[in-house]
Amino acid sequence: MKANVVWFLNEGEVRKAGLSHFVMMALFTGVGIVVGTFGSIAVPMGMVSAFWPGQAIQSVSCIWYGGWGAISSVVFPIISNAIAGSAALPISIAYIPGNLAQGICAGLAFRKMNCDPRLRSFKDWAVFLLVGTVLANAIGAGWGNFILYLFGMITPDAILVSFLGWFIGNTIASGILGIIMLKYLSPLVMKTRTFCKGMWA
Amino acid sequence: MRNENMKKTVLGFVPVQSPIYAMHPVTRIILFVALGFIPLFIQMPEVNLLFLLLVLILFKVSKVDLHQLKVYVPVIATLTCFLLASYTIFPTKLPGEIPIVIYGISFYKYSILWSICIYVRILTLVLSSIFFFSTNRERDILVGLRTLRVPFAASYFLGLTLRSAGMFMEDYQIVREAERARGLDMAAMSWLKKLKHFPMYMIPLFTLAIRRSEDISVGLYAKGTQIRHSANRPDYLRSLFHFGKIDIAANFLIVAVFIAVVVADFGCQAFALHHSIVNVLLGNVI
Repeated sequence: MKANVVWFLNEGEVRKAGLSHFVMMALFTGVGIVVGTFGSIAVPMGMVSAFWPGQAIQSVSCIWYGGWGAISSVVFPIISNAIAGSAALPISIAYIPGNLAQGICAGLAFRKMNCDPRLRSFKDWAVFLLVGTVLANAIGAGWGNFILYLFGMITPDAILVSFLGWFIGNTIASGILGIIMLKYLSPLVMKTRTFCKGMWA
Repeated sequence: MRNENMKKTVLGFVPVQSPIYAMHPVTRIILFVALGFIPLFIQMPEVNLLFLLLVLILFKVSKVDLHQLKVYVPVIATLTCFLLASYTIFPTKLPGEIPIVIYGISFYKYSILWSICIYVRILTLVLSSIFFFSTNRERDILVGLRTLRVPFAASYFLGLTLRSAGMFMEDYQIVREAERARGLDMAAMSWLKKLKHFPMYMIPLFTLAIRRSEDISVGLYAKGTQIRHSANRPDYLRSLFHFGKIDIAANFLIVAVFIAVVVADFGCQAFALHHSIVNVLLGNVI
């Protein structure tokens, strides 16, 4: 089987972080705001959404754009939550570690395990589904519910039910959207200068 | 109102003559941050209700078309149901508390008290954030941040982000119009079909976004824009706004109220739930 060389630099290849990465990060954050807002308004469930495709944007952006995607996945939920009215500013700020985890898990896993963003092998699919959606959403839902509990939004007994609703709904949504994005857009993204083989370039 | 000149804000349209524009963007940001944090220090629902009322008055005074807020009705309704269900089905109760049973459902007064406290608090926070985005344009936010000496890279990033969200929405509308022109009737689609259809928008929209990012990068490079080392940049936008006496007075008032609330809360628990009228009405649960 041919070795996967997506993340390795070719001989003589120089990749530097630059203006284009910064712009791409901003544009991706804007896209995340729209997708996140749509998800929060479309199927709201109180302070959480039962269908939040924003997590797919977080995972995929970290796979494609590494650290830039991680920044984007932290920033856009704050704005989309404020616009959608689904969470107040202090709660959105408290969500930051959860959002970072929701994004960075897939980005790190794809780089460390040498997976192809175009989802060409069983390993690529398994890593994205297990790490990029299931694990990422488990951490995100766990942290999110902890924050909701801290802010008094849910009682201790309701944490499990809220966690399951959040985790299952978001995993399905992000699984569907994430696969579509990776499968159809990765070939295009990987040809651009902004695709990051490392964490920043 | 329809004949007035309107400003396009992040969430809708507000008349140019709106009194909110008499205030500098910095004052609006400070108001947003203060209203975003003050309710967290207050447990008494009636006090938070006053802040909620203040936000609603601000909506009215700022001439925000309240019909724009219709989109938030489902979010607020489900927030109500979520909290109600959470505190009824999974109540938080005092040791030995006897429930009130209505139609076979047990209600605990302590749980009801807390649910009212949290509900009013969150509603105030959410409406204050909707107010901010309903009355501010992307450039207002930028000017506010730059006046507050936020680094150029951060403010530029935020500006580009908000602009790209607008562009993405515009592209989305174009794709939807094109679908309609080809006979797709979204209104007749079931909820499930709509959900399944949504990811399909992503392919053309992301392709456009990626292409646009290349264009913007090249444009910025050609203009010689530097994200790092960009101190002492001439800033035309900032020159359009004046930080006047009204802003000094408003900021002083906002900061004074904020400090007063924090001191009253930490110093003597002035806004603790056991002082609340709701607690008295429920028979001094705490």
